[in-house]
Amino acid sequence: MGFLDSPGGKALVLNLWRENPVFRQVIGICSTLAVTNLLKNTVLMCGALTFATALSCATISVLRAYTPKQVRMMVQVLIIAAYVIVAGFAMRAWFPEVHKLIGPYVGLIITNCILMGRCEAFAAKNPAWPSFLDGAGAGLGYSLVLIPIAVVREVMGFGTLFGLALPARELWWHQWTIMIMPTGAFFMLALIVWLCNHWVRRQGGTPA
Amino acid sequence: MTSKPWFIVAFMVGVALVFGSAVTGIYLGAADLLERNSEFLRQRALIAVFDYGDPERLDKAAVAALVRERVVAGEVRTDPQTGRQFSLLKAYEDAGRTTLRAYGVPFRGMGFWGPVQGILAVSPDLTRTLGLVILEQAETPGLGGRIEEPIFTEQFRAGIAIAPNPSGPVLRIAAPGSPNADGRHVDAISGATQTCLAMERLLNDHLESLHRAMAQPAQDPPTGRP
Repeated sequence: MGFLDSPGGKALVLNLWRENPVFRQVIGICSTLAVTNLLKNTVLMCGALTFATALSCATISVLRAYTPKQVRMMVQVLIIAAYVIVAGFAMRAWFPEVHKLIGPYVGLIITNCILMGRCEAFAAKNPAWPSFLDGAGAGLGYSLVLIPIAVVREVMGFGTLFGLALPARELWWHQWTIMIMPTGAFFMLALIVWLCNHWVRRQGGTPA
Repeated sequence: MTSKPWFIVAFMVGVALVFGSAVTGIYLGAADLLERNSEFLRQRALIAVFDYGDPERLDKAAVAALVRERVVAGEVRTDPQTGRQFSLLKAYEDAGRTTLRAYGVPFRGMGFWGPVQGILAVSPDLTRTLGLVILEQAETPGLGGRIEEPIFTEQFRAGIAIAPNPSGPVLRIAAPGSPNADGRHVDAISGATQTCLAMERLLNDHLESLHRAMAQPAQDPPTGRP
């Protein structure tokens, strides 16, 4: 049995595309609007969310047999909060200037629906390794949507990519101020959801 | 067993203790690094606002040495009208601290979306600005957020007249090309009208207060880092 046929492999791939948390389940999109106007911020946010989701799912899975059902969501939030705080520390330590900009949104990962969703839907019922992969897949699926949005917004809004000026931009580039604003993220997110649903429909699937 | 009340309580306490202790341990382990980062960012801001060189080109040791040698926490002044206290920084030209280069005036107030905090460098005779650095802001990135970029801050390094002005505001942040016979004009940022209005209000408020405070005798200087 190959990796992709294993429960964990299947969960990882499902979260990347067919059950992508952003454009299929449309959850956890609040931060999409807030952190996607610069690619560096987006990549770090995606890294923090993937780290927190994967490790929270694995930990909750390990504890699932002992966790009283009456308090399981409290336990999940507590575990998620611990990993998110650690991700915040790491960002403050190694990327203090980025943390200054997106620190509040990193803290809000605790309330991101993707984490609670994966913990409840998968980690609470499955072994640790598949749960880890499921969480990692959800984080990567989130990144798969946010990173292209950030590329377009940074290029159109700032004329840079990863903070580096585009070649000869003074000759051809014109600032699209709307791409810097949250409105730009709304447009980009809608466009990506529409494109993905269009693709799914062409493949014979059911759009989100 | 997992549904018994004592187990539920014990489980929650145990999980909270384990994860709380882990996070606390990691924080304590990283506290030095976090504090050093925060201090380095602050020192770089001081280098930038007092124009001691390009902070991007100086290493951590050089930044720390420059600040230690040339910047001191100066006197505390109080505005008799509002009660606002200024803990002024004094920046010197040389390591011997013989010639005063500038005062650093910390300011804090509301921008358009959230608090704005920074340091304004002013000449020792309080007649013109010498620099501006924004330490904290929550304005729209790419629009109001550009108040921390050179397009806005370099104007203060060039020198904006800030002597007391009985006939109007101390300085004006207005559209580029506005009349500037008195040298009090700062070019606003296109697309960031509300942030610029908030900055104008904030800086004028602090500068008017500073002029009143500097007319009062100095209080004991604070101890500690500059």
